[in-house]
Amino acid sequence: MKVSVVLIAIAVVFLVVILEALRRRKLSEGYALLWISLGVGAFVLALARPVIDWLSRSIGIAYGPTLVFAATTVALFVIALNLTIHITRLETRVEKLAQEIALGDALNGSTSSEEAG
Amino acid sequence: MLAAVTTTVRPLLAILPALNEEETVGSVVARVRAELGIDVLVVDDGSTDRTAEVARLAGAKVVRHPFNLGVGAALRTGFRFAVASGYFAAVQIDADGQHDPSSALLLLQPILDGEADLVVGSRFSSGYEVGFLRGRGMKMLARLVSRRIGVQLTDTTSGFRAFSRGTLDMFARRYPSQYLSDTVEALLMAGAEGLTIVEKPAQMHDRQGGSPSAGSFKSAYHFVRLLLVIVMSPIRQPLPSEATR
Repeated sequence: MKVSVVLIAIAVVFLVVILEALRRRKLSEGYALLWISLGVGAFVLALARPVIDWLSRSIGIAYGPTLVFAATTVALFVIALNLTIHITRLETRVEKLAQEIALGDALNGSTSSEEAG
Repeated sequence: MLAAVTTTVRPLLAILPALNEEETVGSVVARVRAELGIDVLVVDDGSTDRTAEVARLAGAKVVRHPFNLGVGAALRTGFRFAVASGYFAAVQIDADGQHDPSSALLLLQPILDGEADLVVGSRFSSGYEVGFLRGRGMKMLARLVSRRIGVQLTDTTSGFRAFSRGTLDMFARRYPSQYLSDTVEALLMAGAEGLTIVEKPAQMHDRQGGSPSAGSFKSAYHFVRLLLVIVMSPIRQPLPSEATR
Protein backbone atom coordinates (compact mmCIF):
# COMPACT_ATOMS: atom_id res chain seq x y z
CA MET A 1 0.00 0.00 0.00
CA LYS A 2 1.30 3.44 -0.91
CA VAL A 3 0.13 5.13 2.26
CA SER A 4 2.12 2.63 4.31
CA VAL A 5 5.28 3.45 2.39
CA VAL A 6 4.81 7.17 3.04
CA LEU A 7 4.11 6.57 6.75
CA ILE A 8 7.16 4.34 7.10
CA ALA A 9 9.31 6.96 5.38
CA ILE A 10 8.04 9.63 7.78
CA ALA A 11 8.73 7.40 10.80
CA VAL A 12 12.26 6.65 9.59
CA VAL A 13 13.04 10.34 8.97
CA PHE A 14 11.64 11.09 12.43
CA LEU A 15 13.96 8.51 14.02
CA VAL A 16 17.00 9.79 12.12
CA VAL A 17 16.30 13.37 13.23
CA ILE A 18 15.98 12.24 16.87
CA LEU A 19 19.21 10.22 16.78
CA GLU A 20 21.06 13.12 15.14
CA ALA A 21 19.83 15.53 17.84
CA LEU A 22 20.94 12.99 20.45
CA ARG A 23 24.35 12.64 18.77
CA ARG A 24 24.86 16.40 18.80
CA ARG A 25 23.74 16.51 22.44
CA LYS A 26 20.90 18.85 21.63
CA LEU A 27 18.54 16.34 23.21
CA SER A 28 18.99 14.43 26.48
CA GLU A 29 18.73 10.63 26.43
CA GLY A 30 15.53 10.68 28.44
CA TYR A 31 13.61 12.81 25.95
CA ALA A 32 15.24 10.96 23.05
CA LEU A 33 13.91 7.71 24.48
CA LEU A 34 10.40 9.16 24.66
CA TRP A 35 10.49 10.28 21.03
CA ILE A 36 12.14 7.08 19.83
CA SER A 37 9.41 4.97 21.39
CA LEU A 38 6.78 7.21 19.78
CA GLY A 39 8.60 6.90 16.44
CA VAL A 40 8.75 3.13 16.73
CA GLY A 41 5.07 3.14 17.69
CA ALA A 42 4.24 5.15 14.57
CA PHE A 43 6.33 2.73 12.51
CA VAL A 44 4.41 -0.25 13.86
CA LEU A 45 1.04 1.45 13.33
CA ALA A 46 2.04 2.26 9.76
CA LEU A 47 2.61 -1.42 9.09
CA ALA A 48 -0.12 -3.03 11.15
CA ARG A 49 -3.41 -1.79 9.79
CA PRO A 50 -5.18 -5.10 10.67
CA VAL A 51 -4.07 -4.70 14.28
CA ILE A 52 -5.52 -1.18 14.38
CA ASP A 53 -8.81 -2.33 12.87
CA TRP A 54 -9.07 -5.22 15.29
CA LEU A 55 -8.23 -2.99 18.26
CA SER A 56 -10.74 -0.29 17.26
CA ARG A 57 -13.52 -2.81 16.65
CA SER A 58 -12.90 -4.43 20.02
CA ILE A 59 -13.40 -1.11 21.83
CA GLY A 60 -16.31 -0.04 19.64
CA ILE A 61 -14.73 2.35 17.15
CA ALA A 62 -16.05 1.73 13.64
CA TYR A 63 -13.28 3.40 11.63
CA GLY A 64 -9.75 2.29 12.63
CA PRO A 65 -7.77 5.45 11.83
CA THR A 66 -9.97 7.39 14.26
CA LEU A 67 -8.33 5.41 17.06
CA VAL A 68 -4.89 6.43 15.78
CA PHE A 69 -5.90 10.10 15.71
CA ALA A 70 -7.38 9.87 19.19
CA ALA A 71 -4.31 8.13 20.58
CA THR A 72 -2.00 10.67 18.94
CA THR A 73 -4.00 13.58 20.34
CA VAL A 74 -3.90 12.14 23.84
CA ALA A 75 -0.15 11.44 23.61
CA LEU A 76 0.61 14.97 22.38
CA PHE A 77 -1.62 16.44 25.08
CA VAL A 78 0.24 14.49 27.79
CA ILE A 79 3.63 15.55 26.41
CA ALA A 80 2.59 19.21 26.15
CA LEU A 81 1.25 19.18 29.72
CA ASN A 82 4.45 17.56 30.91
CA LEU A 83 6.57 20.19 29.18
CA THR A 84 4.62 23.07 30.69
CA ILE A 85 5.06 21.50 34.12
CA HIS A 86 8.79 21.27 33.47
CA ILE A 87 8.90 24.88 32.29
CA THR A 88 7.09 26.01 35.42
CA ARG A 89 9.68 24.23 37.54
CA LEU A 90 12.51 25.80 35.54
CA GLU A 91 10.99 29.27 36.00
CA THR A 92 10.80 28.71 39.76
CA ARG A 93 14.40 27.57 39.82
CA VAL A 94 15.72 30.43 37.69
CA GLU A 95 14.02 32.92 40.00
CA LYS A 96 15.44 31.24 43.08
CA LEU A 97 18.90 31.02 41.51
CA ALA A 98 18.91 34.70 40.53
CA GLN A 99 17.82 35.67 44.04
CA GLU A 100 20.50 33.54 45.68
CA ILE A 101 23.18 35.08 43.49
CA ALA A 102 21.84 38.60 44.06
CA LEU A 103 21.75 38.12 47.82
CA GLY A 104 25.17 36.50 47.66
CA ASP A 105 27.14 35.92 50.81
CA ALA A 106 24.59 37.57 53.05
CA LEU A 107 22.44 34.46 52.94
CA ASN A 108 25.09 31.83 52.24
CA GLY A 109 24.54 28.68 54.23
CA SER A 110 21.32 29.79 55.83
CA THR A 111 18.95 29.46 52.91
CA SER A 112 16.29 26.81 52.92
CA SER A 113 15.91 24.31 50.14
CA GLU A 114 13.23 23.75 47.58
CA GLU A 115 11.37 20.47 47.30
CA ALA A 116 13.74 17.59 46.60
CA GLY A 117 12.14 16.57 43.33
CA MET B 1 50.15 5.43 58.32
CA LEU B 2 51.68 6.10 54.96
CA ALA B 3 48.65 8.02 53.74
CA ALA B 4 48.74 10.29 56.77
CA VAL B 5 52.30 11.32 55.89
CA THR B 6 51.57 11.96 52.24
CA THR B 7 48.44 14.03 52.82
CA THR B 8 50.37 16.94 54.29
CA VAL B 9 52.28 17.34 51.04
CA ARG B 10 49.57 16.14 48.68
CA PRO B 11 46.22 17.11 50.21
CA LEU B 12 43.38 14.64 49.64
CA LEU B 13 39.66 15.26 49.68
CA ALA B 14 36.69 13.02 50.34
CA ILE B 15 33.64 14.12 48.35
CA LEU B 16 30.27 13.08 49.80
CA PRO B 17 27.25 13.87 47.64
CA ALA B 18 24.26 13.93 50.00
CA LEU B 19 20.51 14.23 49.63
CA ASN B 20 18.47 14.08 52.83
CA GLU B 21 21.00 12.00 54.74
CA GLU B 22 20.81 13.72 58.14
CA GLU B 23 20.68 10.35 59.93
CA THR B 24 23.97 9.06 58.54
CA VAL B 25 26.04 11.93 57.16
CA GLY B 26 27.38 12.94 60.58
CA SER B 27 28.84 9.54 61.44
CA VAL B 28 30.21 9.03 57.92
CA VAL B 29 31.98 12.40 58.01
CA ALA B 30 33.37 11.65 61.48
CA ARG B 31 34.60 8.20 60.44
CA VAL B 32 36.26 9.46 57.25
CA ARG B 33 38.02 12.20 59.17
CA ALA B 34 39.13 9.85 61.94
CA GLU B 35 40.16 6.87 59.80
CA LEU B 36 41.62 8.65 56.76
CA GLY B 37 42.66 11.97 58.26
CA ILE B 38 41.67 13.85 55.12
CA ASP B 39 39.41 16.82 54.40
CA VAL B 40 35.74 16.08 53.78
CA LEU B 41 33.46 18.00 51.45
CA VAL B 42 29.74 17.33 51.69
CA VAL B 43 27.83 18.48 48.62
CA ASP B 44 24.29 18.94 49.84
CA ASP B 45 22.18 18.44 46.72
CA GLY B 46 19.16 20.45 47.83
CA SER B 47 18.26 18.51 50.96
CA THR B 48 15.09 19.43 52.81
CA ASP B 49 16.38 18.09 56.12
CA ARG B 50 19.34 19.08 58.34
CA THR B 51 21.99 17.32 56.21
CA ALA B 52 24.14 20.44 55.71
CA GLU B 53 24.00 21.44 59.38
CA VAL B 54 24.83 17.94 60.64
CA ALA B 55 27.71 17.66 58.17
CA ARG B 56 29.14 21.01 59.21
CA LEU B 57 28.91 20.09 62.90
CA ALA B 58 30.79 16.85 62.14
CA GLY B 59 33.64 18.90 60.71
CA ALA B 60 32.99 18.77 56.97
CA LYS B 61 33.21 21.59 54.49
CA VAL B 62 29.75 22.01 53.03
CA VAL B 63 28.48 23.38 49.73
CA ARG B 64 24.77 23.48 49.03
CA HIS B 65 22.79 23.36 45.83
CA PRO B 66 19.76 25.66 46.03
CA PHE B 67 17.67 22.80 44.65
CA ASN B 68 18.11 19.15 43.75
CA LEU B 69 20.26 18.64 40.65
CA GLY B 70 21.19 14.97 40.87
CA VAL B 71 24.29 13.05 41.94
CA GLY B 72 26.23 13.82 38.75
CA ALA B 73 25.84 17.56 39.21
CA ALA B 74 26.68 17.26 42.92
CA LEU B 75 29.87 15.41 42.04
CA ARG B 76 30.89 17.97 39.47
CA THR B 77 30.42 20.67 42.11
CA GLY B 78 32.73 18.58 44.29
CA PHE B 79 35.30 18.19 41.50
CA ARG B 80 35.28 21.91 40.83
CA PHE B 81 35.82 22.58 44.54
CA ALA B 82 38.69 20.07 44.61
CA VAL B 83 40.41 21.61 41.59
CA ALA B 84 39.90 25.20 42.75
CA SER B 85 41.25 24.33 46.22
CA GLY B 86 44.29 22.54 44.83
CA TYR B 87 43.67 19.00 46.10
CA PHE B 88 45.99 16.31 44.75
CA ALA B 89 43.36 13.59 44.53
CA ALA B 90 39.84 12.88 45.73
CA VAL B 91 37.69 9.95 46.73
CA GLN B 92 33.93 9.83 46.31
CA ILE B 93 32.06 8.24 49.22
CA ASP B 94 28.33 7.76 49.76
CA ALA B 95 26.86 9.75 52.62
CA ASP B 96 24.45 6.96 53.54
CA GLY B 97 27.10 4.78 55.16
CA GLN B 98 27.18 2.07 52.46
CA HIS B 99 30.86 2.58 51.73
CA ASP B 100 33.47 1.55 54.25
CA PRO B 101 35.87 4.46 54.84
CA SER B 102 38.77 2.05 55.38
CA SER B 103 38.31 0.83 51.78
CA ALA B 104 38.72 4.42 50.58
CA LEU B 105 42.44 4.18 51.35
CA LEU B 106 42.72 1.15 49.07
CA LEU B 107 41.07 3.15 46.28
CA LEU B 108 43.37 6.14 46.77
CA GLN B 109 46.57 4.08 46.92
CA PRO B 110 46.93 3.35 43.15
CA ILE B 111 46.49 7.07 42.50
CA LEU B 112 49.09 8.08 45.10
CA ASP B 113 51.41 5.51 43.53
CA GLY B 114 50.82 7.06 40.11
CA GLU B 115 49.42 3.80 38.74
CA ALA B 116 45.87 4.94 37.99
CA ASP B 117 43.80 7.99 37.09
CA LEU B 118 40.45 6.58 38.09
CA VAL B 119 39.87 3.80 40.62
CA VAL B 120 36.48 2.12 40.90
CA GLY B 121 35.55 0.26 44.08
CA SER B 122 33.71 -2.92 43.12
CA ARG B 123 30.98 -4.15 45.42
CA PHE B 124 30.82 -7.60 43.87
CA SER B 125 34.31 -8.75 44.78
CA SER B 126 33.28 -8.39 48.42
CA GLY B 127 30.10 -10.42 48.15
CA TYR B 128 27.58 -7.64 47.60
CA GLU B 129 24.28 -9.20 46.62
CA VAL B 130 21.51 -7.77 44.47
CA GLY B 131 18.26 -9.14 43.09
CA PHE B 132 18.33 -11.36 40.01
CA LEU B 133 17.13 -8.83 37.42
CA ARG B 134 19.21 -6.01 38.82
CA GLY B 135 22.22 -8.33 38.93
CA ARG B 136 21.74 -9.35 35.29
CA GLY B 137 21.40 -5.71 34.28
CA MET B 138 24.52 -4.66 36.14
CA LYS B 139 26.50 -7.56 34.60
CA MET B 140 25.38 -6.59 31.13
CA LEU B 141 26.33 -2.94 31.67
CA ALA B 142 29.71 -4.07 33.02
CA ARG B 143 30.33 -6.28 29.97
CA LEU B 144 29.40 -3.55 27.49
CA VAL B 145 31.43 -0.84 29.20
CA SER B 146 34.43 -3.16 29.70
CA ARG B 147 34.47 -4.00 26.01
CA ARG B 148 34.23 -0.36 25.02
CA ILE B 149 37.02 0.94 27.23
CA GLY B 150 39.20 -2.18 27.13
CA VAL B 151 39.40 -2.65 30.89
CA GLN B 152 37.74 -5.52 32.70
CA LEU B 153 35.23 -4.07 35.18
CA THR B 154 32.61 -5.86 37.28
CA ASP B 155 30.79 -2.91 38.85
CA THR B 156 30.19 0.03 36.51
CA THR B 157 27.50 1.72 38.60
CA SER B 158 29.56 1.88 41.76
CA GLY B 159 29.69 5.33 43.32
CA PHE B 160 32.79 4.48 45.37
CA ARG B 161 35.64 5.93 43.32
CA ALA B 162 38.94 7.74 43.54
CA PHE B 163 40.18 10.37 41.11
CA SER B 164 43.64 11.68 40.25
CA ARG B 165 44.30 15.38 39.83
CA GLY B 166 44.17 15.04 36.04
CA THR B 167 40.84 13.21 36.20
CA LEU B 168 39.47 15.85 38.56
CA ASP B 169 40.56 18.53 36.07
CA MET B 170 38.70 16.84 33.24
CA PHE B 171 35.57 16.01 35.25
CA ALA B 172 35.45 19.54 36.70
CA ARG B 173 35.02 20.80 33.14
CA ARG B 174 32.52 18.26 31.94
CA TYR B 175 30.66 15.55 33.76
CA PRO B 176 27.44 13.73 32.87
CA SER B 177 24.65 14.91 35.16
CA GLN B 178 21.84 12.52 34.14
CA TYR B 179 20.94 9.95 36.78
CA LEU B 180 23.42 7.00 36.74
CA SER B 181 25.23 8.54 33.77
CA ASP B 182 27.63 9.92 36.35
CA THR B 183 28.78 6.35 36.84
CA VAL B 184 28.55 4.60 33.45
CA GLU B 185 29.05 7.50 31.05
CA ALA B 186 31.89 8.91 33.17
CA LEU B 187 33.75 5.62 32.66
CA LEU B 188 33.25 5.84 28.90
CA MET B 189 34.52 9.44 28.96
CA ALA B 190 37.58 8.48 31.00
CA GLY B 191 38.23 5.56 28.63
CA ALA B 192 37.94 7.79 25.58
CA GLU B 193 40.41 10.25 27.14
CA GLY B 194 42.91 7.43 27.57
CA LEU B 195 42.92 7.63 31.37
CA THR B 196 44.09 4.57 33.29
CA ILE B 197 41.08 2.96 34.95
CA VAL B 198 41.55 0.38 37.69
CA GLU B 199 39.00 -1.62 39.67
CA LYS B 200 39.58 -2.58 43.31
CA PRO B 201 37.43 -4.63 45.67
CA ALA B 202 35.58 -2.40 48.14
CA GLN B 203 33.73 -3.22 51.32
CA MET B 204 30.00 -2.45 51.23
CA HIS B 205 27.48 -2.28 54.03
CA ASP B 206 23.72 -2.19 53.93
CA ARG B 207 22.51 1.37 53.93
CA GLN B 208 22.13 2.72 57.47
CA GLY B 209 19.38 5.16 56.61
CA GLY B 210 17.59 6.97 53.82
CA SER B 211 15.90 5.18 50.94
CA PRO B 212 17.23 3.52 47.79
CA SER B 213 17.49 5.85 44.82
CA ALA B 214 15.04 4.14 42.47
CA GLY B 215 12.25 1.56 42.31
CA SER B 216 12.17 -1.28 39.81
CA PHE B 217 10.18 0.46 37.07
CA LYS B 218 12.45 3.46 37.19
CA SER B 219 15.49 1.19 37.26
CA ALA B 220 14.30 -0.52 34.08
CA TYR B 221 13.84 2.84 32.38
CA HIS B 222 17.29 4.02 33.44
CA PHE B 223 18.79 0.71 32.30
CA VAL B 224 17.36 1.21 28.80
CA ARG B 225 18.56 4.81 28.85
CA LEU B 226 22.08 3.70 29.79
CA LEU B 227 22.07 1.15 26.95
CA LEU B 228 21.22 4.03 24.61
CA VAL B 229 24.09 6.05 26.07
CA ILE B 230 26.56 3.18 25.62
CA VAL B 231 25.41 2.36 22.08
CA MET B 232 25.56 6.00 21.00
CA SER B 233 28.83 6.82 22.76
CA PRO B 234 31.26 6.10 19.87
CA ILE B 235 29.50 8.48 17.47
CA ARG B 236 28.27 11.05 19.95
CA GLN B 237 29.84 14.46 20.26
CA PRO B 238 31.68 14.81 23.57
CA LEU B 239 30.03 16.79 26.36
CA PRO B 240 30.95 20.46 25.93
CA SER B 241 33.94 21.36 28.07
CA GLU B 242 33.22 24.33 30.31
CA ALA B 243 35.65 26.71 31.92
CA THR B 244 36.08 26.42 35.65
CA ARG B 245 36.96 29.16 38.02
